[in-house]
Amino acid sequence: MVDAASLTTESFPTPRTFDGRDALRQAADEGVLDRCNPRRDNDASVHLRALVRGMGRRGSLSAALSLIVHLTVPFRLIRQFGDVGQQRRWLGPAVRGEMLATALLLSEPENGPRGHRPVSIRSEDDGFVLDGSAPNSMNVPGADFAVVVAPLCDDPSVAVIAIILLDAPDITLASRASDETGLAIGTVSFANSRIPATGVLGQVTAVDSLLARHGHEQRLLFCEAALSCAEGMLDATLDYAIARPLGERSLTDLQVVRHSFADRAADIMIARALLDAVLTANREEAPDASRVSMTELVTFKAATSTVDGCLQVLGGRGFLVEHKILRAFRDALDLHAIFSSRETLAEIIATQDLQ
Amino acid sequence: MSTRTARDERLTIFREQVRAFTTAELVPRLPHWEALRSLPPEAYRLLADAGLTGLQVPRPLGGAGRDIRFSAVVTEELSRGGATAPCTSLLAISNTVCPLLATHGSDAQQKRWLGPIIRGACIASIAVTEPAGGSDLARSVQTRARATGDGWVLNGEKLFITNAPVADVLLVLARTHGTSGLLGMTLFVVPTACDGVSVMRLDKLGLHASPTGTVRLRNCHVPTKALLGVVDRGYFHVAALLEQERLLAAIAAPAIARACIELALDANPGLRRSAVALHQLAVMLAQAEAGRAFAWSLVETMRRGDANTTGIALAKAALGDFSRRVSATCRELGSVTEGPATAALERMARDTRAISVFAGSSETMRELAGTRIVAAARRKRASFSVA
Repeated sequence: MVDAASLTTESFPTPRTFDGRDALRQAADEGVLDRCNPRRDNDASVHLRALVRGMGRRGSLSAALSLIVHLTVPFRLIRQFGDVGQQRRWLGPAVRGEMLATALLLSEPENGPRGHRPVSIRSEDDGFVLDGSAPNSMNVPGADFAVVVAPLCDDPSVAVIAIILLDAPDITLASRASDETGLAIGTVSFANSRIPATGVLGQVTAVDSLLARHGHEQRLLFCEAALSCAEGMLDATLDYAIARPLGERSLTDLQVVRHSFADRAADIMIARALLDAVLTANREEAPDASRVSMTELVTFKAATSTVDGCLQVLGGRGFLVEHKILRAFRDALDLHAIFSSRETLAEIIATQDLQ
Repeated sequence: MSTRTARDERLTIFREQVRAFTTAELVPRLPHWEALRSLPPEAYRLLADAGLTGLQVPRPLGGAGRDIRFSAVVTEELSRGGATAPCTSLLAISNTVCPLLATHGSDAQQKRWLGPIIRGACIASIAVTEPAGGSDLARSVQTRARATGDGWVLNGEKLFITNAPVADVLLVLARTHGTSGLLGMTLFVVPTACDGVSVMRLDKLGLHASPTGTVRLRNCHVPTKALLGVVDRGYFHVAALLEQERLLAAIAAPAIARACIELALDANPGLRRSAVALHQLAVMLAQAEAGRAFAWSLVETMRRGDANTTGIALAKAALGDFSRRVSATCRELGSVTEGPATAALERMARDTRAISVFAGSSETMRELAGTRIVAAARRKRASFSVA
């Protein structure tokens, strides 16, 4: 297992602006990346969870999210659908930290902000061509290649799984036009970008179940990162509050502060129990969409309320961009904006369990 | 089949049995018991016949020899069925009185009281809380027991005592030494027919089908053999069970919340056409699932013999308050027409209010947990400093 304690205190700092490559390089330098490679070890997912947990507890939420995107869906799809040559071509550099991956799961092309042409994939000659743009994509810019899963224009029941290098002249990468977020997110735009024959991994019809299986693992790891970040921030804030003098006493001698810590601890423990239960179930059989959505809803809420509560206890210090709490706060606020919104999650739960 | 799988299988079968019993035997009688403002003796016999009163009592003593998980299943199923009040009365017997008699009772006490209680022939109650305070027993217990040559004389008053108005016997916690502190309190087995014992029923906001009362003890003389457990150690006998009571309250809360969500949809089918209402219910459902996972993780911890006082306190406070909010919201969303679902929602909203109050209020639980969290962090800092 990756020993979270072996990561140095300064591992995975979250700078004001963030590039997924930073996290990748550091993970490779720390020697932990290879242990999370599913090809190497059956316990890779356990290692990955431990890595994510260690990074999260240090407040490096954005770095953890980047590595999750790198190490889950692209690795799983290349392993499942790629031939030996493709696996060697892409997984080797990815696991050595030489190439950063992202995944574009375009199962619902009509979604996303207005003004974006949704990504479409069509067959042309004896290959495939991508067109359109995918906003809010993790590890963009920074990613060297993307694993794309998209339905075919002329037969949406079939999805194409392909790998495409992102440094082609007909592909544009743009970071989100805001310095409010520490997450490595941006937009990938394709202008009739041709996927070479060597980049096609395969075609599937049961795309929903494929995306659910791999997507659920990724989403649950996002939850782990967010919750671990909240746990780490709560511990750090508790240490601060104990040491913070208040006249002859300490900040924790205030009953209202103790109760605030109790409330935040309850939020975290409750979310942790659900996440652990769902992750345990995930080892035996894939949890359903509703249960994953419940976990995401509860853990993200616990993470945001905890980091917000910590910032409050830290007062002015927590309001400074240099402080890791503020970075965690900023990143936690983005969780629902970048990943599934509360409304989407509630809709999934309502449709499956309440209708 | 592995041992673990077999155990889980037993739990699943037991859950199905309890659910069927709740649906067939308890739910139809609830309106009548509510109207009575009590739980009649036949209800206690019904619970005993179902094997629920002596659930955690060892088999040689006439019980079922089950662990805390089975009590959690009973709590969950009765709560989900809306039978929170009978559940409250049952747990006072099955998880407080019976374990105390089974663990600390003499052979004579077990023969005289434990057997009949398990069979439902005798109704019992534990009298701990007093008017001077709530769960802070170290300061609040003022009822005194004075030793005489042939026994003890008890004087004092007990408040909010579940089952007291219908009880045949009480387990009374009284101070035998000093005026405060955890040491110096002793448990006594006191039949309600004793001279000097008077019980008065209390009317409450909810939990109508669980009788609650005050107990007055005026020069109540009991023989030496009425002593239960070790003199001056009564608090410690009770304290371990208090934690279990809080944990079972935390188990009840998400079950009630889930039941309220389902009842709201039954009572007002129009909610299914409102995205806003459905989303509200979906978020509450997710929180109920998470709360349930947390409470059950604590049950497993307790079953292994580990105490998680902080976790239990947080669970009781957070989940108790949560179920209160959910039941109130569902009552608002569902109460558009008269009918059984609406009536059940209203009853559950009233009953649920008690969870944040009894066995240590939410504020007391937050204080307990918050203090322990800070103390643990201080210890960790101190150990780092030494290192």
